[in-house]
Amino acid sequence: MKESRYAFYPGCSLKTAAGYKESIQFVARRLGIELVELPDWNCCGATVAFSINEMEALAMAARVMAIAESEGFDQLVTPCNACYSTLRKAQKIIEEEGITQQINQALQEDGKSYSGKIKVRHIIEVFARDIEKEELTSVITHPFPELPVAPYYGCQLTRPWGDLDHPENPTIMDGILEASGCEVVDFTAKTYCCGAAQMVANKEACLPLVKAILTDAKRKGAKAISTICPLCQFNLDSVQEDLGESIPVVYFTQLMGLAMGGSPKEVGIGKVITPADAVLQAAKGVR
Amino acid sequence: MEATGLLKRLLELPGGDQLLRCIQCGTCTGSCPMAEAMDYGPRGLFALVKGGDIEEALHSNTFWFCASCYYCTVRCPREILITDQMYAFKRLAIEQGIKPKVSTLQMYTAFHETVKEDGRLSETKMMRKFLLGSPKDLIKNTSMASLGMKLLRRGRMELKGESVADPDKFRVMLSKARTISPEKDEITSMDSGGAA
Repeated sequence: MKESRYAFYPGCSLKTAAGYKESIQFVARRLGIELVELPDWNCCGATVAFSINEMEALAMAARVMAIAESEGFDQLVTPCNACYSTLRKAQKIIEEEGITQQINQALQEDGKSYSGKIKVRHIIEVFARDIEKEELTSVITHPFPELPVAPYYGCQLTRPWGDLDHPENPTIMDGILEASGCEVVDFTAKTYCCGAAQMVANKEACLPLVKAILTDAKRKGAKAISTICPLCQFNLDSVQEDLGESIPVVYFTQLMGLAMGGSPKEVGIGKVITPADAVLQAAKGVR
Repeated sequence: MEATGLLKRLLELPGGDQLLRCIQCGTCTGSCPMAEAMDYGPRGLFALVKGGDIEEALHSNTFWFCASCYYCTVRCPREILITDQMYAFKRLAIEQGIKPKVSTLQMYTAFHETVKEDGRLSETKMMRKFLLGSPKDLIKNTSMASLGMKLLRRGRMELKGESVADPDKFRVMLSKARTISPEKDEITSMDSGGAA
């Protein structure tokens, strides 16, 4: 094990996400990983801040990273693709434009200071890369017998500021799901866009995007979709009634947690909207 | 290329001259999940700019439909940071007071106001602001109430928002940030050659 203690930046969407928080905590406990929530964290600004004022956007992201630095961490992990992408993007821009000093003048107003040394990572890297494979498989006590799962990565994990996997064909989640006993299907739509925040403002334009993702998952024989981002999960799950679809959309940590013997309640699976019966039945089969 | 007025402003933004490198191959539009909803795809938008029609470009809905998926950016053979060009268009349009016909700006405003108040985003508060500021969306989204009920039943409706410890200081920080006008170099990772 490389590390066992990380600064954890939940982002604004985690508290209302469908069991992501519960399942992350469950899996982390089982793996002996300590996630320390940042005190006094703020919204990363997401794509909205960059659309309105670039310097404001950079300051918001820098403030989050500054807090992690002042708490003595050299790594910050987040479970949200948008937070991950935003922080990394801000870090890169501040460095390339050489404006750390100017950003710090703003942060100073709030008693913070940013150096840029912190490494921003997605939680999936911790579970997939910092844990030895044997260590992971040793706690997988209830692997799924043949649950075909479509691994949905979304856009902002690997495009373009992330460097953790291929921008169009990432595989980091595939290995975790396989270790959990799931059958991972070839999924063309794995990095298609779910519409992200446009689902709020321009739902009609986003519905065909979600339809294409769900259709590809079904065509490949998947009985569930595994996600790694609160907004992706919400968009794929919450509009299925509009689309006349019904395929469970869960978090990869919920599948991991069930495979580690966690109860459906412990991994918050009852919080998803489209019934996750197929997942629960597959999990029940081994209990 | 001779540029004046708004076009000159756009090209002088950091990395703004990147779009002069565009060779009109259409990889961006072919990769864009939202292209069908747009009046001009990204390629068409860049054609307008290169042709000097900045007014039409700024009144297009292209950048308001951008979902920031970055497909265009990673695929552009000329390494133009296209998604970031979309942000630049949005900021310039806002500055010019150009109101888009789609509701994206109202959503951004609701998000931005919520975060300015609390330092964090309460989705419930943002949605309330958005729908009050955009009544047509309130009427259109009849399924919103039923979705709200589903979230409430699952304990996923945030009834009491959270905030940073000192929202006043957070706001002062944002105001201070808005005054920064750094002497920016060009984005260094990209080759700036080949501009028209």
